[in-house]
Order: sequence, then structure tokens, then C-alpha cells
Amino acid sequence: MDRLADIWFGLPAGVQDVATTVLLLLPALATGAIVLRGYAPGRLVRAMLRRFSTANMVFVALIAISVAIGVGLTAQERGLRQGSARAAGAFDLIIAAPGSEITMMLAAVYLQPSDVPLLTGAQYVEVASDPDVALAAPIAFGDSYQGAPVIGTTAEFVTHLAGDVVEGRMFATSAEAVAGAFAPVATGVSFTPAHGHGPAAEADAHAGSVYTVTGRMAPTGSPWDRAILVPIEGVWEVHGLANGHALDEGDRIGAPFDAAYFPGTPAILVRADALWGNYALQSRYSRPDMMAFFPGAVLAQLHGLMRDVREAMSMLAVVTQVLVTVSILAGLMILTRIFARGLALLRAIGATRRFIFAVVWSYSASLISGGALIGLMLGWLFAFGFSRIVTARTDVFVTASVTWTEVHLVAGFFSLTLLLALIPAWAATRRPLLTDLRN
Amino acid sequence: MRPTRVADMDADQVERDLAGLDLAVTDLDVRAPDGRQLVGLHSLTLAAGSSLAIRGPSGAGKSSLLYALSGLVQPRAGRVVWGKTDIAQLDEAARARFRRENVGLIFQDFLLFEELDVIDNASLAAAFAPRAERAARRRQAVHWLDRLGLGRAGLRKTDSFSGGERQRIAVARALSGEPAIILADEPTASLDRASADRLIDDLVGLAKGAGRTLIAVTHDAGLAERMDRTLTMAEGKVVGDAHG
Repeated sequence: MDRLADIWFGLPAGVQDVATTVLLLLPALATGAIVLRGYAPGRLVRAMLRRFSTANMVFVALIAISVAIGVGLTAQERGLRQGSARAAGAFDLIIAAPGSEITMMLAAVYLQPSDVPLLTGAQYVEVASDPDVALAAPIAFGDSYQGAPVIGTTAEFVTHLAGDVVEGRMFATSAEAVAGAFAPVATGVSFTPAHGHGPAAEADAHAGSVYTVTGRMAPTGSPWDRAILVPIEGVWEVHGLANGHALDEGDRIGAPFDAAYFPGTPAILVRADALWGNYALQSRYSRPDMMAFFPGAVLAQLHGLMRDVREAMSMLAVVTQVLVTVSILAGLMILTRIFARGLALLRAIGATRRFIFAVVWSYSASLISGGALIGLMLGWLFAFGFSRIVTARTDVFVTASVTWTEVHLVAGFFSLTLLLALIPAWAATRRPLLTDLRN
Repeated sequence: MRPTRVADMDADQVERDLAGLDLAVTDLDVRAPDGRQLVGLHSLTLAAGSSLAIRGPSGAGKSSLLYALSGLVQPRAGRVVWGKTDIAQLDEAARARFRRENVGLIFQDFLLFEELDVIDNASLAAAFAPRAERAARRRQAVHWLDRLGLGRAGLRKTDSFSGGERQRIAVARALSGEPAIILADEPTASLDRASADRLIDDLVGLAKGAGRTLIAVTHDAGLAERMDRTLTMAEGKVVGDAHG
């Protein structure tokens, strides 16, 4: 047994997936081989499919929809999980004032508006000057333009997040901005930010303050793609605050910042050169006046908490499949009754019960196969479409695709229903011949 | 029972003598599920290759007798001996095999699969025949369709045919297995006079020409007149037996 397990786990993942699919399909294939041995019911089955073709199509559609729901739900859940994780990938470590890590993660990574306490200039300088810190970017948020959040940060962080700008150039003064990949502003456009977000945003609160877009970032697959990024000095200046630098530094932007002129930041996005450095920093700055956390770890906790929801979704998918399987069974019984006279004729002219069994099972198998295949494709379309909606609404780039997991789900469903299709096939052979013949 | 299997024949051999299955029925008792007697027949014999019409009012037990002779109905008592085989003693599978190998059935309302073409309908039994026999069955079906004037209609669907044509397709289906016995239940009842007459000519001609036993339940005097013998039934009993 251990040896078998060793062999199995030694196989490449692709081979395991294919083997699992074959194993799941094996009951159906074996049943088909046994049931159809020696018979050629193809023409009759095609005739049955053409007869009452509308009812047959409805039946196939029901199967397809149920399979699509199962496939779509599992693919979507996984896509959402992977998308949210991918969006947080560039955020190694976040240091913020004590509070809720989840709230801070939602604010800093997913740009969800929230009120959070600020870190002081002294705290920022302490972090930024830590020898293990390679990048310490303060952020500032609270403004928006045409629904897109206006985020203040540093050019280094923009480059860390998305690489070099793909259009134009990086902002160089506090009055310049870089658009996220899908932000609703074009390069060269000037705009005045509104204070706040959504319907409550005050459009004229920052009248007279203008940013000019100088470039556009590459896509990151995160809500930052819809944001407009400006130097943090610009955000502070727009709000009438000091800009993080002494007056004699002129219009310089970016680190280092002077603690005496630092108005505060809700979070510092930190990266160390070495992985262990991030852990050291997390440990060092987890203290009463600061909290340091890995967004990836918080997200993993969140996903853990969401496991119940995930399991509920999986359960829903299974329950749907079971309900549909039962419906299929009942439907096949009814459809078989419709064909009772034709089946009785076959028996009258000498067909064995086993042949009737083979015809009815093949007919059922055709409907189920068609439904399962169409369902797999519909599931992919459903996942694809829903991903686009989720991406549009959350700006988290979600790509839900059909993988081997879904193929295994469908293969299992296929085998189970084909085994259950033995029941109506058996029932068809037990019907009263003469009664059916005379009806 | 049968000297030659269908697979061993070709279309040129179809009218050979298939005699050898004389019928001997004794003390036949067929009952409905509720116990009511449908047929009570003391004795009936019929030589292989001869023809018999069964007549009588509705509910007389004609069809029940026909189904008992085919093995579709298991009698409560009595013997139905074809040649040396008492089909009343066979289990269902053996009776199905007997019908498959020896009996061609024709029904009043044709019982065709509308979605199949003419050849597929006529060679329906090929679907469950042994693989080696399937091609021969289809060849026989095509041969009989040709003999019945439907040779050019092979790939058409049956829903475009008249009642008479459909019944001729059903006759081809019954003959495609080269059965020694043809049992027909009101074969002309759904047809107009002209179609019925043509069908009678075809059915009787082909059956007699090939030495097959033909038994038909019918209200059609025209068909009964063409048969060697006419049995009249009432309330499950034989009340008349006319030869010639």
C-alpha cells in the first residue's frame, strides 16, 4: 500500500490528474462495455433521441445547468481566492497603527475606504531607517476622481508594485500623477481630486489643486489598477498639511522624509531585501504602538475563516448535483414510459430483456453525456462571465478557469448518473409486454 | 427447429420451403390478470405452410389466442406446440428466442419507429441479432421491401408514407427474419379498401409462395376468403371452423 502511494505521489501532477479522470470514468466505461456487449442499439437510440426531441433537449439542458452550476461555483471560488491572493502579492509587509489587521489590509491592499489611525513621522522614520528595510513607502488615501481612488505614495513603491510605467513617465513633482492601468484618466489630462469617495465625495473641497497625469502603470491585477497614484507630498499639500520635507528642500518628493514635517500616514508598505528580513521586521514592529503584519498571512486567515462559506458552496454544488441526479432518474423513468410501446414491440419481435436494457441505458447515457459535456462548457462560460463581473466590481483581477478539479467533478457525476441510469433501464425490462403493446 | 439460420441465407434463397412447424394446440386456457377466461380452446391443429383466419366479434378472444400462439402471453394451462416445441412450457427468454427465430408479427397499427428510415424499420431485428447475422438481416429486409414495391423508399423516413405503405413496411419487417410462421393482428383494419386488397395480395401471396404458416386475426372478409381455413370465435371459444 505504501509502495503504491509512493508510486502515485511520484507521478507528475498532470499524469495524476489524467489517471484520476480515467479512474472516475471507469465505472461508466465498464458499465457501457458490459451493457452494450454484442448489441448495436445506435440507430434505435438515435431514433429515441429524435422522438420528443424538445423533451430530450430540456432534459439535456437541466443536466447541463446543474453541471454548470457545480463547475462554475468551484471554479469561481478558486478564482476569487487566487485573485485576492495575487492582488496582495506585492505587499510584503504592512506596518500601521494598532487596530484591525483586516481593516488595514482592506484599506491598503484593496483600497477600501476606511477610517484608520495614523502613524507619526517619528514612527515612519524609525521604520524607514531600519537597516533591514529596503523600501518603506507611506501611503495616503481619502481623495478620489471620477470614482477612482487617488492614492499618495512614493515613486519607488509604484515601481515596486507595477514595474516601470508603460506609457509616459513617472510623476516627478507633487502636482503630477500616474494612472493605474485601468484608471479613468488619460496621460496628459489634468484634474482636481474630490475629497472622499462615492456619492458623499466633495468635488470642490480641493478646488485650485490640480494633478496632471504623466504616465500609466502596467496592470497589477489589483484594485490599484483603477487608482490614480500621486506623490504623497501632493496629498498632504492638497489637504493643507506639511509635505514631509523641510521648507529648504524645495519641491523635492520622495524619501527620505523629515519626521518634523511628516503629517502622518495610515500605513507603511515595507519590503526587506531578504525574506527573513520581512519576518524580522514583522517581529520588531509588532509592539504596543505599532502593528506589523503580512497581508498574505491575514488573507490566508480570512480564507480560513471563509472555509465554512467555501464548504457551504461546495455542499450546495453537491446538493444541486444530487437533486438533479434524482430528477434525472425520475425523468428517465417517465421518458422510458413514453417509449414503452416501441420497447414492447422490440420484445414482441424477439429482443431479449438485456437488449431493451441496453437500449434504454444507452439512451439515458446519451442524454447524460450531452448534458455533462455542455454543462462543462457552460460552467466555464459562467465562471468566465462571473469573473469579469467580480473583476469589474472589486478591481481584483479574478480569472476563474475550468481545471482538472472541475473535470473530476464532472467525471464523477457522469459515472454516478450512468450507474443510476441502470435503474430505469432495469425498470423498462420489467414492464408488462402485452399491456404496453396494446396501449 | 429451423434448418437454416438467416445468416446462412442470401436474398436469392428467400422462397425456399420453411415447412416443418405444424401447430398443435390442446386444452389452451388463457386468462386475464383478473382471472377472467379469455380463451378456452380444446384442440386446434394446423399444418405447416397453411393459412388460418381467426374471426369473431370484439372481445371474442381472437387477439389473445394469437398472442398465446406467439408466446407473448403465457397461458394458464394447455399446450401450444410448434413442431416439437411446446412454447407454453418455455420461459420468457426462450419464448423471445422462439419468436426471434420463427415468428414474424404484424400489428393493426403498424408499430413503426417514425424516426427510422424504411430499411432500418424493416430490419429492426438486426439491432439485436448476432453480429454475424446483421448484414444478412438487412439484405433480407431490402429484398422484401423490393418485393413489396418499396425498393426505392429505403432511406426515407416512414412518416411520409400512406397507411398501406406503412403496413407493407411492417410486413417486410415480419418477413426479414425469414420466419416459418407469420402472425398478423388485424393487418388491414387501418387501411382503406384498395390498400387492404393490395396488402392481402402481398401477404397471402408471399406467405403461401414461401410455404409459411400464416395466421391472421381479421374482420376483413376479403382476407379471410383467401385463407385455407377460418376459425370463428365467441366469448373465448371456437364456434366455427370452416375449411377452404
